[in-house]
Amino acid sequence: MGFDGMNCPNCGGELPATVLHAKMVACEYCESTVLLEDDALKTAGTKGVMAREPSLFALGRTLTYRRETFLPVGQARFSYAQGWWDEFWAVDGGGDGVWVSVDEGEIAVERPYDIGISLSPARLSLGANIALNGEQFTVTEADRATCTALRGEFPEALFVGQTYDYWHLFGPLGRLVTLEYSDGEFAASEGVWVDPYLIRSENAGA
Amino acid sequence: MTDGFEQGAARLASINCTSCGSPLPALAGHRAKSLICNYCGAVMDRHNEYRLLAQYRDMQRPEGPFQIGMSGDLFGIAHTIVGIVGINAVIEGYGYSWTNYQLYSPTHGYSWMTWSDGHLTHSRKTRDLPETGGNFAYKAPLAAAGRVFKMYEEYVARVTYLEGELTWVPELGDATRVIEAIDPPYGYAVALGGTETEFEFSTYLDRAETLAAFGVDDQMPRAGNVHPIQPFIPGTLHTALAKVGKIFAPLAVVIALVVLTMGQGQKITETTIQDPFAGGAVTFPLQNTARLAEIRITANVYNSWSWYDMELTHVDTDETIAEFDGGVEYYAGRDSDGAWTEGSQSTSFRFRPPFAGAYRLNVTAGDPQSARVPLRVEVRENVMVTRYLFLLAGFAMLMWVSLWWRRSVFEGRRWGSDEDDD
Repeated sequence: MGFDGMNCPNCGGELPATVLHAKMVACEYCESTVLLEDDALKTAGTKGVMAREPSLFALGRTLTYRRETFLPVGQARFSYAQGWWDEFWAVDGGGDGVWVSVDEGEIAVERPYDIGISLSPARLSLGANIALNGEQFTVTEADRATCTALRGEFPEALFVGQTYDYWHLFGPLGRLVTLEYSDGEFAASEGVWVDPYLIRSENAGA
Repeated sequence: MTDGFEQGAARLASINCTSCGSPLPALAGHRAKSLICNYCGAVMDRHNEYRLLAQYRDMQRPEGPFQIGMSGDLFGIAHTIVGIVGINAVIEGYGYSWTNYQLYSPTHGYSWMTWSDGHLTHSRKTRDLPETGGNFAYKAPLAAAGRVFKMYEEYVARVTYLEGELTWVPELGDATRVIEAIDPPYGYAVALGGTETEFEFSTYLDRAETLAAFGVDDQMPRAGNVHPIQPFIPGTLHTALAKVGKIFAPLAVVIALVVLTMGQGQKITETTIQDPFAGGAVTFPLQNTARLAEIRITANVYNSWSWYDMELTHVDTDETIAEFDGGVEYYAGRDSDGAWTEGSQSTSFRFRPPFAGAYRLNVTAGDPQSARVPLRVEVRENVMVTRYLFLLAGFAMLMWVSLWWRRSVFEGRRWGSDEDDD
């Protein structure tokens, strides 16, 4: 028996205790993702096929970058025109959640960010300059991605098959802002690119 | 229950050139944008069904020990060579060329290994931007990536050769302005291309270890110069000797000075033999048989010499302890170089007294040609010898200084004729 009977509504499998702090988890026993909504669990969709690939990151294995530690607890895989990348939802040393995107050694650590203005996707062409919270950013990448697989837990609802338009904006001192647009809504995160050669990972040999 | 992951899909191992049909290795990941055929020079777009973008025939592959497809560990991370780019630059009037190997690691992405005149370096893109302004003066400090580099040189690099999979779509002859700063064994470069500026962090690689890691038998010529980020690595023995010398040289000097001050001993007697040709004797007591005693003779010879025979006898036993012959000679004058002197009016003999008690020194002129001058005899005991300590201090200092000198020569070669002024 788990904790207070929190089980997968599809297969009855035990859900991890951390589901209470997450918005969504992928069931370890079946193909379902489970959404926690209004204190009730409901099946959200399928978790998709996640092929094993070499990575510095693995769910449940702590890594350090410079003086920070991160524990990945959720992994979402997205495909885009040229290939795929992983978005890890990780808990840092202070207990806060961060998104870590990993695409063939291109790694960025980002935190949720309030852009403070309303944007239109039409403004976000490659090379466009955008002012966010008083700082100038340049759009350096624009593409469309589709979620293909989910593992672990997440702070928001993600769905396999959902498509996102996304933009990378490059700002002062190497700062990065990522904008996502799906179902008519923007979400943003802000952070920095990190040097994979400085990451110390329990999964380094993978 | 499983861990929820499936086996990764098998990857394409090779692809046929869309221009000439030759089979080409496909080793890079999806972020590599171009593929250049080494048979026909076709540049293909990996992100657009290998569409032909350009073609450069008859390119000559530059010198280097590696080939596409070789794999090896750098910093404990597996890397595979997926592309080759030849570079040429004119720096201060001299032409230089080197070979960049595009590396791919599934976990760490894309980086470069460079073969330059027998040296190997690894470079990777960094987002650690310079913390200081644009002072690109020679040897000016440049703070970046947690280090302080020194500005080294600036040049324009041009692409002379292309092969394999690369992370951008190149053109033969592409020019990039490069500003390099160094902090051996690391380097930092600012590369200003036509539309973007990139920053690179470099590390000097041990040639033997790296070639072995990639399975290359080292048949290439040895490096004939010092690479800008090559660290100065003296031999283990020299380093150890220099460390010992650094500690021991000042210690030996101090000890020698103390011994010099304290080791002159105590004067037992001082007397003058007015006419050594008539002979004379000096009797004196010696108590300490553990330390040296010293007999110093002084004669006021000037542009002349005097030679003496001496016999030292223990009075109580009438045993001859030692027989000396020695003399003094002293010359002085002036020539075109100025005043000069040669020789000394004093000389000394040291011995360890075998017995305590009275000793007698008999002195006679040993040569009838000797100058006829009075001879002063001074006897001291508890004398300590310092010359060996000074010799030891000199040797220790030589070991210490020789390492510094070798480093200076090395730095001089690194910076050209301009010596490092640190």
